[in-house]
Amino acid sequence: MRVATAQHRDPNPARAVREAHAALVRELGGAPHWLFVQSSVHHDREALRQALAGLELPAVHGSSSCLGVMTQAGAILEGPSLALLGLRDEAGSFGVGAATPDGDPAAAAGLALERAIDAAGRQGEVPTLVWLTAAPGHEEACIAGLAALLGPDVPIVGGSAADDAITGGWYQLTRDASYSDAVVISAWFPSGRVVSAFQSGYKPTTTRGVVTRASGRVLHEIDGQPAAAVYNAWTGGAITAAMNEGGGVLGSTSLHPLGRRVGEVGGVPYYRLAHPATVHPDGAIDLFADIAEGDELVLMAGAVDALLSRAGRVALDARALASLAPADIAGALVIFCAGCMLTVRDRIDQVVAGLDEGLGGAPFLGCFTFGEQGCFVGGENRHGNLMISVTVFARE
Amino acid sequence: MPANEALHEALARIETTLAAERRQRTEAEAIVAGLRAIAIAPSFAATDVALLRYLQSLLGFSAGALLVQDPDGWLRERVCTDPRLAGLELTAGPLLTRVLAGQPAALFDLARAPELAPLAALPELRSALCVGIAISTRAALLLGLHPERAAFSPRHTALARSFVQVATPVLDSLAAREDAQHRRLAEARADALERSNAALREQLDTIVRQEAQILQLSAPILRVWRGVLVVPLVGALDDEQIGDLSERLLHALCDERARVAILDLTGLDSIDAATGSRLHAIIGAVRLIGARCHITGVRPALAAALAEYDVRGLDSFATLADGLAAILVH
Repeated sequence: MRVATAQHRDPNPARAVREAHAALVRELGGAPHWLFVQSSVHHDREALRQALAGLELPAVHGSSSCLGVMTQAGAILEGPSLALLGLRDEAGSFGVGAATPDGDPAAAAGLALERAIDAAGRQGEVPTLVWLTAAPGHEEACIAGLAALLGPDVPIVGGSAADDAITGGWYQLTRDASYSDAVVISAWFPSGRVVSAFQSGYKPTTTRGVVTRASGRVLHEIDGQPAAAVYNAWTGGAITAAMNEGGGVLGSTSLHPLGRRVGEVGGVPYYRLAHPATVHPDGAIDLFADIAEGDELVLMAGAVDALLSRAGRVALDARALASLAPADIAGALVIFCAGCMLTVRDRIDQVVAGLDEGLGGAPFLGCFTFGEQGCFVGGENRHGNLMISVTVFARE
Repeated sequence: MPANEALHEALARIETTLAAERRQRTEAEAIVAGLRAIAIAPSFAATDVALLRYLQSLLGFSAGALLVQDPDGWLRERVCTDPRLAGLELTAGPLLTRVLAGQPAALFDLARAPELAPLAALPELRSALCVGIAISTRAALLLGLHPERAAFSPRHTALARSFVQVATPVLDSLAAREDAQHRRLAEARADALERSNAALREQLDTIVRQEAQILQLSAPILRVWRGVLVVPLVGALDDEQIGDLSERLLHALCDERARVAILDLTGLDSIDAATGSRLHAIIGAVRLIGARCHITGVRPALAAALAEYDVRGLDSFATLADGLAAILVH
């Protein structure tokens, strides 16, 4: 497998796509068999899709990213930006499929997966890994829909499409269509190894409670009390400003997410996170992940310094899981929570440097997402917030 | 990074590494158990059964079959764990060609794979694991089946790939060893056959030589005087012996310029019609080259048999001595 990335700041999507793709082809020695596209929402989605369709590639999978993109060449967090990752693997197969939820995101995810598998020419076969992109809101159902078809043991990795201000401007792309609310799936049948690590950059505190009332992604009560009041007390007043009138709290909660235990390795638990996004006047909190009554919540604690180095350490973990030396890595895909990115935005170059070091200089593409899907070390596929995943492709 | 977070992370990394090592060790032990199972099989054919049974426990399929690719390209069932799979035949399309080339495949829904259409007759089996086991002497497909949909995952294909990578050289070695044994046996059989043939040829030569000697001994041509040859006939003469005698006698008469040949019948037990006829022919041939032919040792039974032929002009005597005396007188 060979991997190359390219990025472009040109506001003209056709030119940006053409020139970035030409760079990929030069690097790969031919057209990519799978193309991953990330762009800021400055680019018009349909213009971008048309430019991508003009490349006449078999498999194109894309979405919008919060503020911008990053590759080993650096991060672009202002203005129009585009990044491409091309994967060339003559002995592998890759297919992309899409479907719109129409009220049933699980079924849509299943349908998109079937289309992706068929597009890869591998009817009925279990892919090595499923790459998922969805609009924020239904990711748990999408994972359930994929697991219903493939079983629980196929790694599902991806990130939710994002915009710059949570105004619904995000989009998803394939070669054939662009969407504002769709599930786009890639089915990977690579010839070599692909390994993914999925972590949060936070540690658990001793503060915890049980969800006593919730619906979907709205957390109403913790331990029988209004959730906002409990959370504000736990964090020492992190959302005091929004307690009376309500309002967005993403910035003030990004270092204090709510964790739920997923599993443990050797007695050491690991958590998926939910990021408090909005406080309602009635004391409820909107999250970027589903919550259920009976869930045990653990207040997690993060630090800017830890977030800066976390992506690089996740990359090291991915390498360790795959037992790959730096020279054996063809490239990597990095999903980095937009909330984390916004917290360390001014020092994003340190994140890039950490990834570059962790991946041994291999090319990578990173995007900033409104929800992260990944496979924990115990094999559980989950949707979470404020998470980071690194998926490495072996060169073999 | 704060010290307690670093400690927590280091602990998590150590535990993760330990868990990965435990998993790898468990898999390695399972693979070694499989190698042991096939290595102790009494013959290469028996390894097929051992392999299928072992992989059933390792990969958790409920029914399985090992299919071997014949020269016509078809994959035909060689052994199976379930009688419903007996006689199964598959043809290799893109999926099975990939599998035979070393890329195991898990199928979450059998009904979607056109190449496995023959299994549609078993709708209770819904998912499959296909593993190619190709060695230098043959290509084989392990087909593991399960009644649940999506029973197999990338973990199964990775495990199968690891096992096949390790098992293939062992299977190759077993096949080569058995092949060498078969070759040695065949060579030993060929050597034994060659030795047996040589012994037979030698015996045959001996027999031929002895027959020639017997021919000559049963009717030797003796030169008793100049111009006089005596042929004592012994035992029962067959066609071949009389033909041989006739040829030798005529040559001897010419070579010796002999004028008389005495056929001494003293040693003959009896004369049947055919022998009598041939003796008569010899007598005629001797006369034709200008020599005389006497018959001696004619006993009453022989005289009666010879009387059936035209014996006019033929000198016959009761004993060889009488015959020789008559020649001396003349």
